[in-house]
Amino acid sequence: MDGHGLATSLAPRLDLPLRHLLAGAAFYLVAQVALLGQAENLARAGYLAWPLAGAAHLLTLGWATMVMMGATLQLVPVLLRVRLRSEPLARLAWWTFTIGTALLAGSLFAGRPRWLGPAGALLVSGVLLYAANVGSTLARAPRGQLQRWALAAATGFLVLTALLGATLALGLTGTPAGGVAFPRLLGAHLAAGLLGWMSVTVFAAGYRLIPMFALSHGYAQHRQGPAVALLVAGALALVLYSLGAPTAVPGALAAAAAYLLFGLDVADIVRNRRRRVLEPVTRFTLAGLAFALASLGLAALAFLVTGRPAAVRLAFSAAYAFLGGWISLMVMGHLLKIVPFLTWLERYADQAGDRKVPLVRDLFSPWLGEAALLLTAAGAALVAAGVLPGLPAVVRAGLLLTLAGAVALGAALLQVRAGWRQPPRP
Amino acid sequence: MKGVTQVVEERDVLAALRGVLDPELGVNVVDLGLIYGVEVRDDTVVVTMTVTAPGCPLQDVLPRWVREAAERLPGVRQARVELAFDPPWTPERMSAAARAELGL
Repeated sequence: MDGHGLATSLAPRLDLPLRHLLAGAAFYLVAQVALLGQAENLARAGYLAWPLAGAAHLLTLGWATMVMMGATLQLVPVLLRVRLRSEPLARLAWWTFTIGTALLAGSLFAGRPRWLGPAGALLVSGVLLYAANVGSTLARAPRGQLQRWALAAATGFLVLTALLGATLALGLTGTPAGGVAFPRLLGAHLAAGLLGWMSVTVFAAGYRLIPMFALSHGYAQHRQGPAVALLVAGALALVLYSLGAPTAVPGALAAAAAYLLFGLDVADIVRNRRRRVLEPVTRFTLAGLAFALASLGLAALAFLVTGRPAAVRLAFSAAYAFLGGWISLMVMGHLLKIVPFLTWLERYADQAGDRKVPLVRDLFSPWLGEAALLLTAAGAALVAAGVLPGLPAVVRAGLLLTLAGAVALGAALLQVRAGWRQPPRP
Repeated sequence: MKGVTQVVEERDVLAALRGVLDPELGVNVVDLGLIYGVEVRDDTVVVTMTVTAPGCPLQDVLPRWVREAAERLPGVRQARVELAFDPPWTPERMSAAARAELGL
């Protein structure tokens, strides 16, 4: 076996997913540091503030999208039994996407729209390279599995999100954006990114990984296809609504129904688990789902209330609960499972059978994972709550806790990569 | 010993496979109930096994470790591993020791 310790005969070399996952964690830490100075902007729901937009893109692109891309590159070949179309192309996409993300977030944070052009070009190129690679891989995968079409749809939404973002950037640099108003484009960008790309990816991966890690058997699977289909339809309808179509109500209902079905499925998976103790991915998922439900409730209220300031605050709080709570906790839980696993394969796969070889769970302290969960959940709840009445002190306290959670996550991953080990088993 | 052919039996193979741990669960593949059958044909061993779920990240590496463990036995010239998903693995296939280890 080569020095990189191939995980499986179909999976890419381990450095490919690992570079995505570790870069994602690094971006998350930077995003939390950047957000710390944005308590005032967050508290006044100032979604158009440049530095806040920069920090938001560190979270959406650098953190969530980066990790989801890495997980997809590892999981598609393993789950769907198909080789990735091109590893060199995936590496080129990673470089392009990483540099593009850093440039874009930096130019937004610094309020320098002049840099948005080259940053956006790099970013869109990285997304297109990734999408072409994953799309052609999925096209060759055996038919029949939900993950195949769900991840294809998610990848399509990722491309749509990037193109809408590029159009927004053109508007910010003074180039007309086809006559579509900025708020409409922003709404479509958010719906495509948060629901179409991130949520569909989380559903697709979660439906395979959560029961696998919880050792669940006999749980209901008949709702999985409808849940993903409703989510795709809901995301599409909300994108169209943002662009002017009268599809808000069916879109919102479809997305809410999808989340309800997903929640029921996770509850069934947890009920049918064979591991008595809830393992980390399940705990992060359950905590994240509480944020997803809160976010749906806040978004519904934002839709129903009269008065723009109240609606903006509710929508802003919903967006933070969604991204900082639901998506971040889901990504974190899977990261704390996948990075140790891939590291184990990289270092110890050739020594399997040797009793001195540690187990995957021996590679980092579980306390750090628990701290990351509790601090992130508490911090996200405080920020989302503090936005509603507009209290900067509450938001700042929440951001501090979230940063501490990011440090705990980083420390856990550093332990894993630095070769730390739990004391040997008797 | 020169000139003497060592005879390998199924129990020898199973004993060797108890050294192959699932690195995630910390339980060996025999106690996990992943081994469906062992067939010894002269100096060739054929192991039929499964994994805990189709698409499991260990789906390719576990069979390789099983093959290598079997081939390390004296008297075994070649080992082959066949992956099976019918019947699918269920937790009920685990031994009492494995259940205790996993807190089931």
